[in-house]
Amino acid sequence: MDEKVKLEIYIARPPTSKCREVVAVMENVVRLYPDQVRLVVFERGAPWSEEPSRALKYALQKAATVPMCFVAGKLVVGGKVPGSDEVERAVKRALNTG
Amino acid sequence: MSPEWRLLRDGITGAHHHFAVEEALVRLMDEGSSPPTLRLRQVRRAVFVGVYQDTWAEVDVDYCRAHDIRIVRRANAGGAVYHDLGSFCYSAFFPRAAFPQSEEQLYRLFARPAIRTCADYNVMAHFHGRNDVLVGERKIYGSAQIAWYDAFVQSGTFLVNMDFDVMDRALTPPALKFADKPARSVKERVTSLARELGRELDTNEVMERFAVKFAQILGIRLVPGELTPRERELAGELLAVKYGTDEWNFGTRQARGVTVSARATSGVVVLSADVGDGSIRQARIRGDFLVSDRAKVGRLEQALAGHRLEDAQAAVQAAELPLDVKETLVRLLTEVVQEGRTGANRMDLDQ
Repeated sequence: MDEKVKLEIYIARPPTSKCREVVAVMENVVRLYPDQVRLVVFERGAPWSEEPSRALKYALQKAATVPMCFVAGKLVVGGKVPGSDEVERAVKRALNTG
Repeated sequence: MSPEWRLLRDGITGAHHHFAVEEALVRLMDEGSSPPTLRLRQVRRAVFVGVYQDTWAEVDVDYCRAHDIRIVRRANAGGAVYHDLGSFCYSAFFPRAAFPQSEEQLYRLFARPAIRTCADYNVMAHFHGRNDVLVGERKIYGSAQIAWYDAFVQSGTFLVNMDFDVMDRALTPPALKFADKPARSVKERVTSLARELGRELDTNEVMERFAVKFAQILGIRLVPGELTPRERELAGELLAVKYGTDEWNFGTRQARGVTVSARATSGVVVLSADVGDGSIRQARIRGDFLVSDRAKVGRLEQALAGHRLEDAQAAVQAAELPLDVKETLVRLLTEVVQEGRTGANRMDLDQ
């Protein structure tokens, strides 16, 4: 389980229609990489029971951007709905270097 | 001709409603249905808690309740702050593309109206650090930003006549916060225009001067306007489901959304679960696995909702689904359960 690449998204609470698009893009990536990635959704302001990555924590301290998408602890896209190809590229990189 | 912005003074002084309006405006700005807006507002006595702070640790909740001081979690990070009708706030809502500057530069740009307003009263203020304006060593103005897809909000608070004694009682910041600062309390760290001048001021007059400076510095024309029906409606919704709830303001709910996937013999199975307090609140099962009747999947999703994570596996076993799909779902649920045991609470990003 720990070897899975972690995808994290930070979206509004309650989610907007664009946030739902973000979730859909990321969930599709999870579907494309079974047993290799997992996705955790953080809603802005909601307490969470799983520690965010260091990069996500840092981003929250420095800026207040919705949405943010992280792959393996690295910011991939901020402020817009990510393209599936952007996320997949990052996932492939993480899988190759992991 | 200068670009036109709406000047909004909606007169909403309730802290919870105020934040609901703020969020409605940024959402609708992003959708392209709200115009660029400068909103000026004052709120009755309230403590605004940072979005990631522990309300109980930062605020004397009993004192606030006894003195009709409202507590509300705001939408951005930072420390808890006390507000009353002696201070005013502004929020500038605009498309991010309207300003090419970096966020650091925007903090400086939007601090200039506050600095110039101080100068009108012969109070010399200066920009400090990332987002503050100080008079001497004391903060008179603080600011924050939110980038929300294509929209941007720059907000600031200007202290005019502040009741520092009430503020000192209401806030209970950890001593660690002052470890590297000369001041020992919030009261020592901040000032107001009235305190600097040694006399009371008309907050409305200061606010009007601020608006004039704001328009001059940004090169815009402010046109008084009102909230649109859609803005009012959305603010009402956000007040009901978010800012008016203890769940939001005191952080009573712990929930997270997890999506995991695995390959079953008949295809990929994707499980998305909204998990909180050891239970599944909502579950969605998708994938390209073979199943004769999708309604069976829907029934399992419904059966999982409300189950303790540990008990959810029994619901999966009882489902009318192919064995390989059920085995895969049990494996995915186990993964979710294991992650649920390694918990962390609301983190404090303000340290």
